[in-house]
Amino acid sequence: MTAADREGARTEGARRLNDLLGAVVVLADGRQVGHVNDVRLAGGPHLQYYLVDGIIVGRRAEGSLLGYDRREVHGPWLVRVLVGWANRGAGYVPWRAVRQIDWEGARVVVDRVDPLEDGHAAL
Amino acid sequence: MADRPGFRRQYDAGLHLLDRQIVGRDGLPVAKVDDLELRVRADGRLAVSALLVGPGALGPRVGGRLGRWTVSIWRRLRPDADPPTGRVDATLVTGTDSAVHVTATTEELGLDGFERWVRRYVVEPIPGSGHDGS
Repeated sequence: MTAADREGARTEGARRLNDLLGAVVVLADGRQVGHVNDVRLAGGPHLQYYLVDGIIVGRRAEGSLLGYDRREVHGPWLVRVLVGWANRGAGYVPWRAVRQIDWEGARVVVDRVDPLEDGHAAL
Repeated sequence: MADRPGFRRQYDAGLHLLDRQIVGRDGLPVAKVDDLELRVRADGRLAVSALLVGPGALGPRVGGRLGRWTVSIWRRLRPDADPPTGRVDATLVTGTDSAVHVTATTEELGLDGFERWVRRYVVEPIPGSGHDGS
């Protein structure tokens, strides 16, 4: 494999993270529960072995939670409180609860949304 | 001697990888991570397959008129009719800290990072933009 195997970007089955970020998240009955705010990767030991482990769902289509929803990010308490308030209701959908991804329609159908727990972001 | 950067147990892709500086084997900056390529495996799982860099990756992410303009100008300035998006294969990544470290250098990767692209096509054509040692 060459150092910059750029043609691979067009290979079948290759998608972009950006196509997932901001996508509408709906339950199987069609109820909208939020948008994809971030994508959690797990696995290893090297980057090519990391798989999407789940999606972090926020109420807003744009603007990340700035990491304030995740334990390892500390900051001024007022910022944390305000961002937390603005993004209240954030959740986590484990991969096994992702039923379908409509890449062209930017829509993800899920079975459920779990609470976003601090433990999700373990180092 | 400082520890070599390794890998986290988990990554929140947007938080921990996007917009991070890619650093080459020689310690010099290569480009920023503008997007990630996810490969759909046979079992339906999504695996990280590459870091995507340059205007071809950043433009769609910016979106709107500015994003389309970025991609359009980049395509016009490239010699090939349908230029591929800059791509750093995931197998080249050796670890992460505040940056993403790779085994290759900028020259070996042959990438057209956004900053290099702007320097080459926007800044350098401006008269007087070069360094004057005198």
